[in-house]
Amino acid sequence: MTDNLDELKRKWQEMSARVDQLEETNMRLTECLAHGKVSSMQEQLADSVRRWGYIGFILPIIAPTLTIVLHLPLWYALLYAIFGLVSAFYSFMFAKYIMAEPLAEQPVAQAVKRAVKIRIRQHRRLISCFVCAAILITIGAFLLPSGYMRAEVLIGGIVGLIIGLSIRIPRVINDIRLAKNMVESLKED
Amino acid sequence: MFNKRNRQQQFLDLADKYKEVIAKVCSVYTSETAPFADLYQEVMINIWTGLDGFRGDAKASTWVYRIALNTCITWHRRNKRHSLGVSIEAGFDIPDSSTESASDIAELYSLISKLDQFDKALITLWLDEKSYEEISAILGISKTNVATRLHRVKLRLTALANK
Repeated sequence: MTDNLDELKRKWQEMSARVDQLEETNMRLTECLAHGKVSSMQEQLADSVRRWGYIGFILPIIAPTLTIVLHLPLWYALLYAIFGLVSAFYSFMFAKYIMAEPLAEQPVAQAVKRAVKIRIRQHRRLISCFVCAAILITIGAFLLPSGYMRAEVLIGGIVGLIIGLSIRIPRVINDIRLAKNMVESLKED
Repeated sequence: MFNKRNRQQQFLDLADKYKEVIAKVCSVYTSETAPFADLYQEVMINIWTGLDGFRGDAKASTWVYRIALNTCITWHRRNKRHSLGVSIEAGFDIPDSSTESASDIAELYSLISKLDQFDKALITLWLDEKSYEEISAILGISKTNVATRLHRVKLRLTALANK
């Protein structure tokens, strides 16, 4: 390779995309975009967070079954319902935060910082859910001797938590490392 | 607000005018996990959804560069359900396409792929001969910082090339 970067720059500028193909592609994309309901990644992320919010609202609805069917104490069902409400509230707030600024049009440094913040909040939300689940399971374990908690329910919860942690935690750690590197590379000299 | 036809026309005008810019940015960020077609499609979707917000206050080229770079840097695989299903292919021609030129460009791509995401953006803008002022407006860093970083990235590229 030539050592001269300026020479490469000249070659780069002379290099042209095969225009005909892209013109045709743009025509087809325009048709699809005009006739379909298209949302950006940012909107999709906010939508998926909002869906978790709706799921959070389901928990207070199913909480009574913990007492009626599984014969768990009332305060346990209440705790479960509160967890659902808090999770729903946080999800809607988070969705609002995601949509607060149009990411794609911001200057790159600001957009990347914002994207990193969103990613880290996403992970914090996930970790909080794991912590809450662990608290509910631990309380359930204490209820086991009194007969309020059924062993199979507790085992199911523990297995679910372990599977969830083993799948998500390595990804979270990797993402946080990448996010830190990204923010570090954006620091002004 | 645009009516549907105006919106389509404005989108097509922008897409056609900046197709090479978008294709070059996408090709710089293309990897095994981020295919060119997916990046190109995502940039187009972001231009389409961002049209309402584009009032022409910023230069159109600055706006397009920002969208293309931001999309490629923060890209995540789209759920197939949300894909537009348009097959996208692009290649690049080098006018004096001697084998040497082609291999130089291929090696340049390979070297750029070793840079971090932000430096890739910086070098892409430099290769496209953008002024420090434009680079500063697109990236959102000061002109002094553009100069310092660019110097460092060029040294890094030269060092990588000489390895």
